[in-house]
Amino acid sequence: MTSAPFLVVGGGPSGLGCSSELAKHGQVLLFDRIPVAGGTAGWESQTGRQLVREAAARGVTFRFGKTALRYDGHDLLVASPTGFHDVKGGHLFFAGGLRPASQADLNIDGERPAGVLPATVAEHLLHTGTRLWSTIVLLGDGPWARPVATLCRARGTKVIAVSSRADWGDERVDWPQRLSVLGRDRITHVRLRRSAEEVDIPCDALILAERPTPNRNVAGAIVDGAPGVTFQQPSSPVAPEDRFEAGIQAARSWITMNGDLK
Amino acid sequence: MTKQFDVVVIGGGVLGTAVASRIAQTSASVCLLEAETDVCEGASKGNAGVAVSYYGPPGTLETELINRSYPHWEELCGRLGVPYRRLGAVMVALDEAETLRLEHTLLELTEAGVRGEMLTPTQVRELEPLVTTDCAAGLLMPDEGVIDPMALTVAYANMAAANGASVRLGARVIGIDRLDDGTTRLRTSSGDVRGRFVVNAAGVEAGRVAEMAGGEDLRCWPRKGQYAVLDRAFAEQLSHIVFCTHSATTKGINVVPTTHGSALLGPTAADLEDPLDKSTDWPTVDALIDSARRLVPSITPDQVIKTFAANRPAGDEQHRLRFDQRVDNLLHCTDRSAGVSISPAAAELALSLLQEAGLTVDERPDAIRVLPSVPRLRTERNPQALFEQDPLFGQVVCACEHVSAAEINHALSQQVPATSVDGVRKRTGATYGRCQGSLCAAGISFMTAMATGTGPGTVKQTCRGSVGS
Repeated sequence: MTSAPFLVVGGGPSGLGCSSELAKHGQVLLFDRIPVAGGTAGWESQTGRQLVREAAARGVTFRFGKTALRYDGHDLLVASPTGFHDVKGGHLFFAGGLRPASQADLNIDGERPAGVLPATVAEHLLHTGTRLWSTIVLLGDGPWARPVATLCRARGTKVIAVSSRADWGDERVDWPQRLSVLGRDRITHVRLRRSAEEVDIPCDALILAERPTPNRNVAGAIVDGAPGVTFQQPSSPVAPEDRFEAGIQAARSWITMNGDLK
Repeated sequence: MTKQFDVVVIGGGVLGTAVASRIAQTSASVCLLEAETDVCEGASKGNAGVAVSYYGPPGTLETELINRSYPHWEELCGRLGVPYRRLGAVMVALDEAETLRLEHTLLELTEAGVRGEMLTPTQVRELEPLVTTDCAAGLLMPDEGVIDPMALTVAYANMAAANGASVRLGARVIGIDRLDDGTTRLRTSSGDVRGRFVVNAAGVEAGRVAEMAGGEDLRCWPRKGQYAVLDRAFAEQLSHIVFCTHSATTKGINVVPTTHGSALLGPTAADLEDPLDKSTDWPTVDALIDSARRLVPSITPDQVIKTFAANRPAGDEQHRLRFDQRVDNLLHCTDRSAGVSISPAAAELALSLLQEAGLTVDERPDAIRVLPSVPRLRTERNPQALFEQDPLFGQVVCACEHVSAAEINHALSQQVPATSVDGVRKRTGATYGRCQGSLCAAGISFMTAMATGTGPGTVKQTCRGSVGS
């Protein structure tokens, strides 16, 4: 056994997959900022619980409710309800999941009024059971789009999906070349531009659900190639079991490249 | 009965709050009127965050006020709990003509008594390795610093309120009447106030205020500046402010590290009619990036995490710190774009001008001059010490910027508290990172809703609009 444990940040399917494989080769500490594992698979779902059980059976040590803040190539600083801890470790596998692309990522310009929200935020707010908007423009076909559309439509909110393949909206519009936000205080329209035409779609919210983009928020583990870090945040496959398997493969190829540490 | 004050300040930007804060330390009574529901909603929110040591030739009041302000930022920001770093700036010349301009600028600096030093291309790149190899010369200005202009404005407002100023938000001035007793009645969207003196610190709206008061015809208009915010993965490599060589007509596009660890490119300059037009457009942002790349070639469009625009108060006078020529109790207090940099000295000057005009004041020995400090988890060397003060420091809400629940709660409960998600951002930097709130804006919405007695739909996202509709 290596004396320095493997550090895995992110308790979703990818992190659970990495951890399960790494546990064959050394001690594994798995961190998640919320108090349960499962990530996008959902901690209550059959699949999510199965993946967590599998990792636990392989001897992974869970460290829940701990937010990783800084990594220096060996040690990880984590924040938690019991204080801050410097965790002595070795290689870091960062499986911090994916987020919707931001306005800047998508080159969306125009005004900056209220009513423009990432789909991850919209989903949380909609789970309170409140009807928030009358007509939303739901941009993109990332994994958040369908749940947001379902929650909105269940409360009588009209959903205009901007996507080439969406079947979750009341209406569907093709992806434009450029997209601008109109409205001073609150969003009033989304302006879609294609070479010859310009269409203004009236709405009271624009929800961003396009292009799953890796979260990077541990200082020292931000850029690809950061020393001592392997990033495991694939945008595909999407199914939790497949992500788990991809995590296993990623850890296995790291072990192949770097040697069994036993 | 309309409440009467010795001084009513119109405008909760950096100059209005600085003046109100200064007057509140004296025996005079002061009221601050702000049209929006938070302070720092105009040019003070959307600027590059540079506390300059040099902004123009010597001999102007603006230069004089900058000279009186810049040596004291460490002390002032220490008292106010405002992030500030005296990074120094290097102004970069890309050809011989620009080199000549730098030499001229150095003469101006020397004449104004400000430190500056010409650098060879090698010295420039030793100092700031990210600067282009096309650099022909550089001018080092070691006394330039970066500041958090939003934190500064909020801190001035908090200090004013802590010393008894009446801070009235959502109070847009809609009429100004001079009464027979010599005082002025200000009618606002949320009630009237009376003042013996009125300070016009309304920024881009200064002309409208002067007109309502029957004062001079101030020639001023909004000048829009667009900015791009760059990710810290790039910005943390920057060690200095990088200015382009200023031309006679414009200060051009600069590369400025922020106190949050990101960097700003900008501003552009476009004269407008509509002070509320704060839109950005990608052709302009692209041009901005191209200009910045001439100075720092490693900048790329994919480093942009946010764009924004704000309108600074351009006018036929670069700065107005003087009484109106028609209305003898109306003190104008605006600056074209150096409001942050002149604010400490401008506040002192405003007080002296009011005293010369007959306001009798005594300094209050009991006035609060230090605000309780709010540590920032992101820059704290020993976070466990913070946890021992307040366990909520251990609860990280904004994962990108490492902003804790303790900091957010403080923003929601200070003298002039945040009342919107954007208000929390202005005070803490939360949601200001690369994911732009996709992980934390729901949590911050819930915390803001709790603090303001609203719900997930009615909580305010910005000053002007709620999350739901």
